[in-house]
Amino acid sequence: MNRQNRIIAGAPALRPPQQVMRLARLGSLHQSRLSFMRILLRRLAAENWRFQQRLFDIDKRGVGRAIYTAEGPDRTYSLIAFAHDLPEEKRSDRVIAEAWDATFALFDGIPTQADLDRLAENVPLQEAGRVSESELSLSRANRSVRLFEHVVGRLAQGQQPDPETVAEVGYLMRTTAVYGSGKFGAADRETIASRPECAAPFQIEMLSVYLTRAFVMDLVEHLARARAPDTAVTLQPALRRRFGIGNSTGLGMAPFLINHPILLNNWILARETALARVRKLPSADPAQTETFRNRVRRADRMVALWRSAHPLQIEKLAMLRADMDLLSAHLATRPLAGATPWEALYQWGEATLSTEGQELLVSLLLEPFGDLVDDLADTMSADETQPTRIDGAMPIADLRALIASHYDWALQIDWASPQAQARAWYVSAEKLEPRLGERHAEPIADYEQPLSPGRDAAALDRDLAQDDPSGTVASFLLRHPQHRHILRRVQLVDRYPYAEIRDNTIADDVLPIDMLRCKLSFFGAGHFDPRSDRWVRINMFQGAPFPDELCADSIDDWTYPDLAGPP
Amino acid sequence: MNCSLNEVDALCRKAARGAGYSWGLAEDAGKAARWLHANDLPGATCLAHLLNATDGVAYKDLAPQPAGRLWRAAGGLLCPIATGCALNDCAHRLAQDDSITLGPMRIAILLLPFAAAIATQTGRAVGLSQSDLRIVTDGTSLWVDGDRRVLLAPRTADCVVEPADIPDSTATGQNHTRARLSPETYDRLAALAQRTYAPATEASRTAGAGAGLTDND
Repeated sequence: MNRQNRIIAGAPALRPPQQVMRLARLGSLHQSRLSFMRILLRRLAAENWRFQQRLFDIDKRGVGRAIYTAEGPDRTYSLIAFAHDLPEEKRSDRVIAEAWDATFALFDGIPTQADLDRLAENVPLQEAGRVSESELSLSRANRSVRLFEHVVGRLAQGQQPDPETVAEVGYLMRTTAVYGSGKFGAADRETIASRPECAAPFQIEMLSVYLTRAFVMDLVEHLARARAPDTAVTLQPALRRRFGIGNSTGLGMAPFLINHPILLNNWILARETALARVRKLPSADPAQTETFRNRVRRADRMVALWRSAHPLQIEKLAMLRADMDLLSAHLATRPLAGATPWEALYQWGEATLSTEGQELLVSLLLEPFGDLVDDLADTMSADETQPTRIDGAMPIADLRALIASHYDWALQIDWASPQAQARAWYVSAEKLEPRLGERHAEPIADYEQPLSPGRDAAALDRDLAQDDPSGTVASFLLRHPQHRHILRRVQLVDRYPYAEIRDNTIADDVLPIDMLRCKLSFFGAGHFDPRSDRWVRINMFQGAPFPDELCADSIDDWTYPDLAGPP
Repeated sequence: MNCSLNEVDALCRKAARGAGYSWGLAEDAGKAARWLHANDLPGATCLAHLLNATDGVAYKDLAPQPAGRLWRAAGGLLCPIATGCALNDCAHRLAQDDSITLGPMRIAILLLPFAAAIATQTGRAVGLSQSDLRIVTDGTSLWVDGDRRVLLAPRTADCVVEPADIPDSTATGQNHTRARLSPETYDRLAALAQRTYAPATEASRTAGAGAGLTDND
């Protein structure tokens, strides 16, 4: 029995994968203490990382380069920024764009002039360039034209930007891709995975975005000074914090959760384990209760400020606002008392709130308990360089029992119906990006990616039913190599119960934004604003302290807006 | 071309799929190429040669047909990827002091990562012998006795896979983090990978990525 199974056996309060791993619930997750941005900032603050703007050579049009370094106990990382003057017509958030307002690389160490010159030839080209093992990530960002000009204009005139206008957008630049782990020649994650600061997932990518935010704020203040040296002012600190970094995420990210099952399991398992630990607490002390009530009030404001133009999210937000009213009323009349008071509150939420509301409550329940749950951050990575071995000695009958246990939902679907297989995931030859097409209307079935575990598990089961139940998996696979991919998953899900999304990922009504939201919530993103069923905008690090403001005593609450500050 | 090992893995997986291997076999092919480069062996080039040779050949002709301890291909030459996967699936047999003799095979060096995986899985080193050459692996390190270039040949005669003891000689370990691919290798693998991509249509350009709304403000 492996570690995951032992944890489940010892913790009956873990919510079962049948409940958690549904798309509608994964698409309702919120950031939490275990989100990667929060893990990063906790470490930067606890270890007193030092930050420096080593170079800021940018002209009055906003063109040039800059370097920001982050120095930890053992190593230094540098964000190298190339700022460009992008003509209006070339600005697109599509991942397939070819030019950007700014491009970035996160460098391992401090770059030499030769490194800078090499990167100047490659980083602005993004996918069309090559980077090296010295680079840990590659990214780019575009201005929010509206807000960028408003902020530069106001600051140049000696005025602060209008807080409502800032709140409407929430960021001055949006990243459109942050590539890490070996992409376009960069260092593989495995080369840095043993570093303590990289123990949690995506810490390099989050550091890159965090430093990008600092650069962008310096850039607007610089441009305001360049425009009107005599009158320009800098941003007031409280308003400055309300700027995050936007992100536009499309289908390219959706297959990630299916392609990285062990990683997905470890993320969800960490969050579920954290929840289970809190639910088991025998009492609520006054300080914890006060922290929880404070976060609930601030989350209420966060929800009130959350805007979306998409009908699906508008509907979810309406329910979430009603949920917050219910939660506030419940807390006003019921003290957190009695045996296992947090469990009682969770049970009330599960019986009362919408899925969005239930998952926000889960995130809020973790807030007072850093000492109890933050250690789980180190369990969220996975070594994916080794192939996941198949147990060839397993009898066919046992394998079928696993399918019946973990893919029962898939066996109940009529896969012959056009709706069940309406979609197909494929990669487009033109742009090399994952896409979702209409199987019955487009010539894409021959190019289908293995992103439909439910359909594939059902097909495997049909062929297994024709085989000798006492035969082995090894013998079956030798004759049926087409089932190798899904068979590996079936055995894996038995060891990693949260590895599989337990829903049809090619149904006519599948919403890829559910997959995007799940991943982005673990990043720590907020303000999910779907732009279609397969494309979402978010805000990252909104409210976070800037590098010179990091303080270990007040690093836990930045994701929830202040009750009195700017919106 | 100086590549990360993740790039090698992904490129080789797609190329194997493009050459007709199932996704599951292609995944193992990508990991195998990666493992070889981590050991400073030319995994991507060997895989490109293999895929050139097996392109269009039916799986049943290049997969092993086990007859007791002797495995041969119906088509004459075993594919080291299909054979390696089948060996991995039978790791439990090798753990029981069994040995398996493999008939003539293409580019047998591609079998090494699978032998290493068996060693990792069973906790017992695995030996691969072919005439004067003997290679032992414990999963991460290699002990080579003889000229390992024998395994780079387009075809090798029978070789034996069996549990082994770790030799006293010096091992070479897994410590390479980059792969150098020749333009020919890269282009060949990329051309095979290209077969997995769907040609763009007007429908896919607009609907497939979900755009259509303004993405600029």
